[in-house]
Amino acid sequence: MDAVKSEIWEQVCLGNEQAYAQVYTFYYKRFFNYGKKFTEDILLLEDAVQEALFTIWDKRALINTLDYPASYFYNAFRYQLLYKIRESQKKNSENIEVLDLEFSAEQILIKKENDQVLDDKLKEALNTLTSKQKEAIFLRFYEGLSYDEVATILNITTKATYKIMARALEKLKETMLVSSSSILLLLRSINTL
Amino acid sequence: MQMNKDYSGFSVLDFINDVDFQDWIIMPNAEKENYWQKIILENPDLQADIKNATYFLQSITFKESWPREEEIEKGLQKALKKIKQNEQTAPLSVFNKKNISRVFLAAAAIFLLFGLSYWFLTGYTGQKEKSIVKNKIEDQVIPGGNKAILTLADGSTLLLDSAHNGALATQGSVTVIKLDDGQLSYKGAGNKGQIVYNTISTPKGGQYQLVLADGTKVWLNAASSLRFPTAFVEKERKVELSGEGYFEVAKDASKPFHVKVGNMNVNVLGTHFNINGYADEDNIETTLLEGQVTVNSQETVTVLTPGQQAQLHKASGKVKKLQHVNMGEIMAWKEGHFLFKGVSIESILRQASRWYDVDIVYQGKIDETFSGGISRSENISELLKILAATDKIEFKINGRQIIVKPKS
Repeated sequence: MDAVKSEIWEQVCLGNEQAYAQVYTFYYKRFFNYGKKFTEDILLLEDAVQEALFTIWDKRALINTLDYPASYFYNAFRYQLLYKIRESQKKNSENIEVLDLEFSAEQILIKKENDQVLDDKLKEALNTLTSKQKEAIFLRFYEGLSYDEVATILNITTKATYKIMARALEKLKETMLVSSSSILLLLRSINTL
Repeated sequence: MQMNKDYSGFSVLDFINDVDFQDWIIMPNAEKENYWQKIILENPDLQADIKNATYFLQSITFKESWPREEEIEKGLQKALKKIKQNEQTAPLSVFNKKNISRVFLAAAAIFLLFGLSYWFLTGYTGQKEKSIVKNKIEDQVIPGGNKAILTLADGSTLLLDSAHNGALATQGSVTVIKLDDGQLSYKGAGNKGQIVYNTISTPKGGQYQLVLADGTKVWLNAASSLRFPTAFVEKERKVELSGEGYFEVAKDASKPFHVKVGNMNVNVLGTHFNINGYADEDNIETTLLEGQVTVNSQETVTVLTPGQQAQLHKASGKVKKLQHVNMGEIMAWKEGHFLFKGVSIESILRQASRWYDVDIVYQGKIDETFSGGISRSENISELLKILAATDKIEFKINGRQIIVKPKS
């Protein structure tokens, strides 16, 4: 992922609205795609994106003093989104118990697989991952953020992030090696190196 | 990237978990490519594992769903409209109560999001609940507010926090008006050849905003003063500052604006800048947000462009120019926060002493630096609590005196 360049962010901090428009467009897409892992409610999602993006402008002076401005953007959005999801759950369900927010497992795909056995195994493995593990993997391997940034977004320590990620990766890898015969076949056809 | 790391004995899982390896797969570039190709060449026995790990990491992907372009455009227009609306109301109400509470709520929200890991990050080392309780700080030193004293040309003074709104005084043809939101405004043309000076001073714990006769807006921080003519009848507009002030100078190319701070002069045409020239600071710092200014001191003339800061070292008279200063940190006071990034405890407490009107006494030296922020509408105890939570410092409050020592 190409993060918004720091020069553009500097311009935003100086009050440049054109630079803000660039940041807005870039993160609108990223947040929408990220938020879609938590909810199917598009209106709610768009509201959360809009509010988070306005916060970026409104609090630019504060954000600029932080070590990882980009992770604050994600953090602000995640906070908005989860808050709105919880509110709407409260409104729409008669029992007071609030559902756990789930980073949906179906959202992780393992590409290149053409093996039904492997496919099923992976789905099974994915279902055993916690929501936080899935989200951490998304932020690191899809959004391309650093461990420190992922930690800031999930509001946990960097050490805990390493732990969560290592356990998740190990679980996924075990599953893939179970059907190693099919992987070895696949490997022969890959020339990435 | 850690160069020349020893990968012998690495398993597939080790590579999968290696941050540099991940970075190469996630965001490849020529440098990383060369580095890893070299590793593979030098370690033929690792080839299979690296291939496996690469395949594994490349396999992880996610379903994508993107918004429609017209929704982004619609949202953007809405956001820009809201920004415009806020701008129109913001400068006049920077210091009113509603705004401060909004800023505080926002600051509190960020506090919640980041927890202590952001507030005073540098010195923070794990759970420190206990030390907060131990450093129980009495809650009696409350923050400052909109307070100032106006001295008129005839020497009479007006206390501005209690003065009713409306016309306060008339001097010659110029009327001083206190607006509904508390700020001061000068109306009237003034007579040629007759220059009347007023001085506005904020005490410790006070701040004030005023509009000069030419429309220039000035925000005065605590323990500061500004001497200015009630009308700008001369060829040049000249004011004199001590302490800290932020200026939004009204454009008038035919009448340059000068701010005198000690022996230093800042010359402007029409622009936004901040000057921090407190007597107890080593430097006079002039920071430009918009436009262009020149800073004149003895023989040196320094031209600033937006984002730059001129630091005049008072003892030596030397001027240093900094390229990209942290605007958020410098302008925090005007927005109603304290913000610090990697600064000494002395620097933090100098600012606190001006705002809370307290004296600071040190017992022992503290070498740590601190980063963090808090709303200026909080009591001093909140600030001290957060600082104490780093477990590096202890505070004791004695009336308006604060004793600071390193945590033993």
